[in-house]
Amino acid sequence: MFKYILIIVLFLSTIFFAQTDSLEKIDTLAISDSLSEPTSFIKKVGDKSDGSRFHPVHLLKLYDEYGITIDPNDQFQQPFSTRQTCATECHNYSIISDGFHFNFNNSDIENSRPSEPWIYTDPTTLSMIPISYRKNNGTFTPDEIKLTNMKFLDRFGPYYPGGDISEMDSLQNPKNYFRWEVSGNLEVNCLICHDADTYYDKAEYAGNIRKQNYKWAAAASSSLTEFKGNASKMPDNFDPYNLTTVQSVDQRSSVPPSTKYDKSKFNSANKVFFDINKNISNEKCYYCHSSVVTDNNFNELWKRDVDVHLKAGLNCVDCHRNGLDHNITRGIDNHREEETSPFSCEGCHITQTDDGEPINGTLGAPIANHAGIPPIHFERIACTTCHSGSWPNGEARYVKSSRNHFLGMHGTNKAPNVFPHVQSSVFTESEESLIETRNLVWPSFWGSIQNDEAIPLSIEFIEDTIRPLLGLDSLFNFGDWPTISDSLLVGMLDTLQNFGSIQGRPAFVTNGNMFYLDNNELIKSETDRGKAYSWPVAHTIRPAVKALGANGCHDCHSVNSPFFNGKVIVVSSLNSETGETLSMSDFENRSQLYQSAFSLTFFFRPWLKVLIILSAVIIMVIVAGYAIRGFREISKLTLVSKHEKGES
Amino acid sequence: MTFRIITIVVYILSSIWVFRLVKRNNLSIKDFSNYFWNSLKVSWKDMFKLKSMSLNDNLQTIRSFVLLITLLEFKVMAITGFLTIIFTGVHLTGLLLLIHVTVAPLISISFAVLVILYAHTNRFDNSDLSYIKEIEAKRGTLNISGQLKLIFWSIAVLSIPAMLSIILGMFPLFGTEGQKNLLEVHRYSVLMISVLVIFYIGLLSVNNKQILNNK
Repeated sequence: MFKYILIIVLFLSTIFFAQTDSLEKIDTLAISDSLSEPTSFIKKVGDKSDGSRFHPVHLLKLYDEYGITIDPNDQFQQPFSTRQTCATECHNYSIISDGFHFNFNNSDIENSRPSEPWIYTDPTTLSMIPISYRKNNGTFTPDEIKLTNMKFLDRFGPYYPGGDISEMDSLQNPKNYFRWEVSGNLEVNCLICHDADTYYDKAEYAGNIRKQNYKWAAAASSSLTEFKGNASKMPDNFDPYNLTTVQSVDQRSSVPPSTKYDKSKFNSANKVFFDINKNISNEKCYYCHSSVVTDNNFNELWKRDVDVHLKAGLNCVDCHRNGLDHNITRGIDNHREEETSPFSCEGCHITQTDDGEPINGTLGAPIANHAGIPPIHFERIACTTCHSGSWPNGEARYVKSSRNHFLGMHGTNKAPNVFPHVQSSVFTESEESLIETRNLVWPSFWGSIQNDEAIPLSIEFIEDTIRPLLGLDSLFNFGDWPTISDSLLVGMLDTLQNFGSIQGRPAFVTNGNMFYLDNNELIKSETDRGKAYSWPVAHTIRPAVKALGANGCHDCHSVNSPFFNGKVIVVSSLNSETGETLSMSDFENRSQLYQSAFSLTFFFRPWLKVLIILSAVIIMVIVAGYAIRGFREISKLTLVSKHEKGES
Repeated sequence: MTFRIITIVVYILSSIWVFRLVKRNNLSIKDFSNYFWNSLKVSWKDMFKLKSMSLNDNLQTIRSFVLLITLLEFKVMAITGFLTIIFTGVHLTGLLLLIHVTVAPLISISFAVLVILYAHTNRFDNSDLSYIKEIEAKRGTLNISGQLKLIFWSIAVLSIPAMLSIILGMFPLFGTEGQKNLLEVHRYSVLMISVLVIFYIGLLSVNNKQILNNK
């Protein structure tokens, strides 16, 4: 009897301890602030700081996309999945993957500030289309030009950090279903920013995206694997476990994607070390966010200045901070103003207090004095206008950026005038009526007129139909932007009219105008959709002694100052329309005539100062003279009066 | 915003004062403005007759001319300076700023000349002193002539911060906060000057009418 009781007690205690253990596990793994929180908001062990500044060592097991542990001795080795490896136990993937770098397609995100677009550039079809999933005013969404997510990744993927459009099945075009099955999903690549291993190869990542090796890309660019293969060349029925599916592929040029792990990196528990860093180095950011003005020094890095903040020892992430949600602060007033304002220019450099506590001077930032600059400047111009971008000279210069000129990739064209032609610094009035330094691009595209607006035609139609009809040279992606004659345009528009698939009247949009045929006559009219798209430039920040105005008011307020009179080229795809320029005042929404007249007053300003000071001194002397005389008279009278009283 | 409200209130109160003054002294608003323009026309014509007049008359003509020119310039400065503040609440800008900046050195010179020419006439004498004594004894108020003198010297004193505050801002001496403070000094001193100028013109018109009636 005692034996049975003992067995039952042991059995119950086993269950009890097992439950206690699982409870602890839940407590350790899922640190939720509230039990009612949905699972997507549950913070895991690595999501909530205990206050220690110590950074934990990341010695981890690797998991593939199905959550199966990776063994380096497996016959068919699968790439590790960041979603499974980083998120299974430690980090909440759904919170992170809604961060600023991964939420392009989230229409709930308020985005009133224009940002750098992805520029679809094809000189063979005269197309230069600024694209943004974020629906920035002046850009086109990929949907508008029927650019599928896979096509978007083919073109811009090398600088795409994964997640969102490259991962969500609901966003994938059914037409590409089998291709997605082959390429796999491009999950959020945590390593692209957080892997401090110097072996981590972003150019390799970029190359793999180009080859549609989406699910392999993160692993392939790490130091843990040796990878080869090209998913884009694999047939739609490709199965990595069944090599008979690739029998038709010429394996001398295109091998199936295959991963081979470096066994020496695994310990006896099958764990590998990731050199994970929270304090992201600037070079990581530079891969996607480099830009270079193509002046005489543009190929000479040693001659170029770096941002004054970086030289002072700061990192990009010291200002562009984020929490678990990975919503990077952008140094601007936005919907997160309360939280982000200390990390803006004003937050650090202008005296501000919060209930008596200074919030300025973060990280030892010097407080800006701006001696001699009338306060109206701070109501009309952004900080970056004087402190960033290139020093203005006679005309805007071309600027190359990572995302649109594929900087940092293997085989990039290093010419200064590679397409697309983005002009900088263009001083432009912002949506908040502030003049700010911007980059600018002129859209050029084929479209159809619907409701008096030009709607771009689908990329597929342009590439398949218009490209052969135009017959432009496809060898060059640099030099002068190609142009066509009016007669060729008339011929093209005439031909397009006969295509039943085009709704509305065919049109061509370039240099801010749309061109269409009316009774076989070429008509030109302005269109908002053809206007130059510009976005603010925040870096490279120059110190006060190199800011606009350092030489005095005449940096901007002189009759020929580039600030108001600098030229911006109107890029046109029509031969007859080339050569036109606009002045900076046109973009600043200021009258050039007025600015010149106002600048003239600065010529007389030294005289104005002398005359007014002289007048003030004269008045002071007279007032003081009469005041002294008056006081003397009054005291004399008072003395007389006292004397008279004394006598009486 | 505060300055905008203060400016509007001050101008409304000043207008009410002028209206009441005009009514009390059987003047019309038209007379009030005609007086200014007619005087300007007369002194402009007199400026061409300087050679034919005595030294005393010459001085008187020049003085009136400078006074009227300064008032005209002040009118331009006040309109350009306060118009945007009253109607839009924003800083002076555009064409108005251009006019304001152009007239600024002219008014500073003419006001300095005006102070030179009128300082002696506007000095307080024994008669003013007796009035002050009466005021002390709560028996009466300063007469119009005394009030005009008091306003004249107040304007002269206020013109110093009004001029210096804006000109010092053009030198790299003051930072953003200092610049804002200088601008505030300029705004408030000029607002006070403009009110005093309204009082001055009002009292001057009444004074001239009284002189004419006595004649």
